[in-house]
Amino acid sequence: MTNCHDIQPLADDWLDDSLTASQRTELEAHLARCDACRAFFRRCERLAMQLVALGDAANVVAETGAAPRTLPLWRRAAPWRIAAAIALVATAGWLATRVGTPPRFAPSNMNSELPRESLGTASEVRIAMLGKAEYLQVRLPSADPHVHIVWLYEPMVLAAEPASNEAGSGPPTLN
Amino acid sequence: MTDACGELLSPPTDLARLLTETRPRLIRLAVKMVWNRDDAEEIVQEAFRLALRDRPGSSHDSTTAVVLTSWLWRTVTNLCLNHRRRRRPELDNAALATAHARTPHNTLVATEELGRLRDAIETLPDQQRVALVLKTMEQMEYPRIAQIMQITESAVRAHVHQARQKLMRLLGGDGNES
Repeated sequence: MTNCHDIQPLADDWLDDSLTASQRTELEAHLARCDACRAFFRRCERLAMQLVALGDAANVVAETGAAPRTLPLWRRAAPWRIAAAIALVATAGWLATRVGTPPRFAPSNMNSELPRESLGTASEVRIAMLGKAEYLQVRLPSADPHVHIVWLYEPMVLAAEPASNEAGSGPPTLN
Repeated sequence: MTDACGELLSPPTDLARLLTETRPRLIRLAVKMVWNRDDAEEIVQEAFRLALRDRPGSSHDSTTAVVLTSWLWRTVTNLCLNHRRRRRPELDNAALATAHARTPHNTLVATEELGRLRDAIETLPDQQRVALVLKTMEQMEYPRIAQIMQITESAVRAHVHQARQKLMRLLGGDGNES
């Protein structure tokens, strides 16, 4: 007859659904007659359910941004940084509206240029901090709410000289 | 999701595509580690910057997707741990309740249980927490987790086991006989 010390180590495999058929049979037979192990496995099952629920709640946070920042942005960022962000966004907006002289963005990471018409449709333009460096973050609209298309540019290489009329290869998109 | 594919990527287009496709899952992982959407997004952006700079796994202008994706998961995990050392996650139970209300489990698991569980997870050692999150919340297989954490599969199993045992001890009779 299997005792509790043999049965309880099966909990991980049971939770991971990787018990063999004979182990499962042995487990079920033991649980049918052992209240303590039945309670233990119920707690294991409950924990597994709670972990899945917590993971799902985290996924909602990831997709909707439900969890707020610990401090509002205006309290976390230095005033000069906010001013710089406003100035850069304003500059980007002004460049985007210029007719006939599409702004030339030198992408820091991608070997392609952002078409001016894409910038016009950007849903968000902000300064993003990556480590100690600051980048201009341009978020483009996406048909799929789970897909975020974000381009990063080094603000300091933002140049206003006219670019060629050829459109760049554009942002990556998903099929 | 393409994280299991072994195709060769031709830079830069395929690399950008892979990053774009992987991004939502990496943000979900980072949220489970730092519990802040904005911080998670910045962590993933930093991982992408490092990927584009260092081109991990690249050889003769091509990068194996499976190498890069493992590298990305590992890098995001490490960046999250670094972030946690600099700033302890702010556990906002009101935001958790709002998010939980939008999941199918909201009638099965009380919000208070999730708050206590999250507090308990915060007390786990880093390796145990990472292994637990990848196994139970990301539903990854042990070999994949071992690849990401760069430890043996048996070590991953041990971490997950210890994490579960500790959580059950900390949570005591939660859900017992329910």
